[in-house]
Amino acid sequence: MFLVVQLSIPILRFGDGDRAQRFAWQMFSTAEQSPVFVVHTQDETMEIALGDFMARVRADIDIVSLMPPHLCEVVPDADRVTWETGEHVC
Amino acid sequence: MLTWLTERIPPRPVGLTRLLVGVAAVARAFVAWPVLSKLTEPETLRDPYFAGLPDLTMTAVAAFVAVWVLSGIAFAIGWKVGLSGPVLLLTIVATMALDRQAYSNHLYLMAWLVLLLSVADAGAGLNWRRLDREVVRWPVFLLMLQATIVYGFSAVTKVNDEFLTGEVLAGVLRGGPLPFPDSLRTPAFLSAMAVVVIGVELSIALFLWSRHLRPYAFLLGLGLHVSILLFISDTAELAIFGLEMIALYPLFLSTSPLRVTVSKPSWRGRLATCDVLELVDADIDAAMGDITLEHDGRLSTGARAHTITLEHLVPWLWVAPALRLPGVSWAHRRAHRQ
Repeated sequence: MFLVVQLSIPILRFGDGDRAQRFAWQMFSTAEQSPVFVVHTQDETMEIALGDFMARVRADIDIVSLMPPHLCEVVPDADRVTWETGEHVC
Repeated sequence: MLTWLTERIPPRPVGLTRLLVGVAAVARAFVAWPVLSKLTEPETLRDPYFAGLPDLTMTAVAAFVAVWVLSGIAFAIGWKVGLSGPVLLLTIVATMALDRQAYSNHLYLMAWLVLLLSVADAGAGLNWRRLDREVVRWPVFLLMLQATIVYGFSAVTKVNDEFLTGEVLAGVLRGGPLPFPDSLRTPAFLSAMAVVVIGVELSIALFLWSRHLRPYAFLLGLGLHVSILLFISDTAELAIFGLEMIALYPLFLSTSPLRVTVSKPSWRGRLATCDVLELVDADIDAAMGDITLEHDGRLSTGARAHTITLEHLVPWLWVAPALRLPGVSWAHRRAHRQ
């Protein structure tokens, strides 16, 4: 079982997607560039520090999918969230 | 092969690995504390593997970390490893299962090491009761394979454009205790360095298995982990990862007894307190002066005997291979003749 898990997961996840893959010993194999999110309310625009809203900022987490809806939920009066490559309307 | 895997072997190397992994586990509990605490805050993103997990509370986090620390200490000193190991493993796995943000490669590695060390009955050597009993070889062999798997895949997955152009190194070589010189932050140098890093990791993965090349694997590994600590941020986590990896090195040492004959005792008492393998015979524990060494069926004297002996002692075993490097070896032999 040890060998199956330890060999198959890294081999199957090798070259899988742009992000580093977990359980696959891909330490420091790709550049980790976190997106910069900006929350827009009716009155102001705020750039978000990811560390304020995440327990750990990790490259193997799909931050772009998860963070915009979360910011809409926890930032009062948020209308929309933008980042370098996209926008999410709350 | 089956006979070899089921052989009983001396327990001290695996006991030393258990001790170091236990220390790493206790230190890792204090890294987990702020992560788990942050997960209790309502504004923190949650990314659980399973829906319907209850919300964490600070009381639960405190209790959880306390169990982690206590089981880690028990594991490190070799107290009831059959119990402390599984409890420690449970806390580590539960941490990773709580939320994807709690994952770390070194924590995942720790889970495997604690599992294999528990199966290996690693409490049988270097334990608080100072009573050794032999252990079966196959789980120890899997621990050795683990070292090669981690270094090997880490090297292979770095063979990509981003890493080979030096882009990854340019990003991570900042924030460490030693500033990386700006004059070396050029694409050409970083790209060459990327190739060297891959070569070093691959070399360690393979050299650990060769009796003649193993000393170089130890030195390369130590150099790799120390340089990571010096030049990259997140020092605590990388120190834990380095400790986990170098904890595996003693398993590669030959476990055949070292028989030492002493003709000119000095360094009184040193061997008695530092032994890893079989250096506990009463007639050895007094000396490190002029010695004759019998190991793996070969007789050695002088500087060579000294080198081999140090390569089996804590903490010298990680740095003693440096005595085999060309210039150092010459100076060491010369010093011994005098």
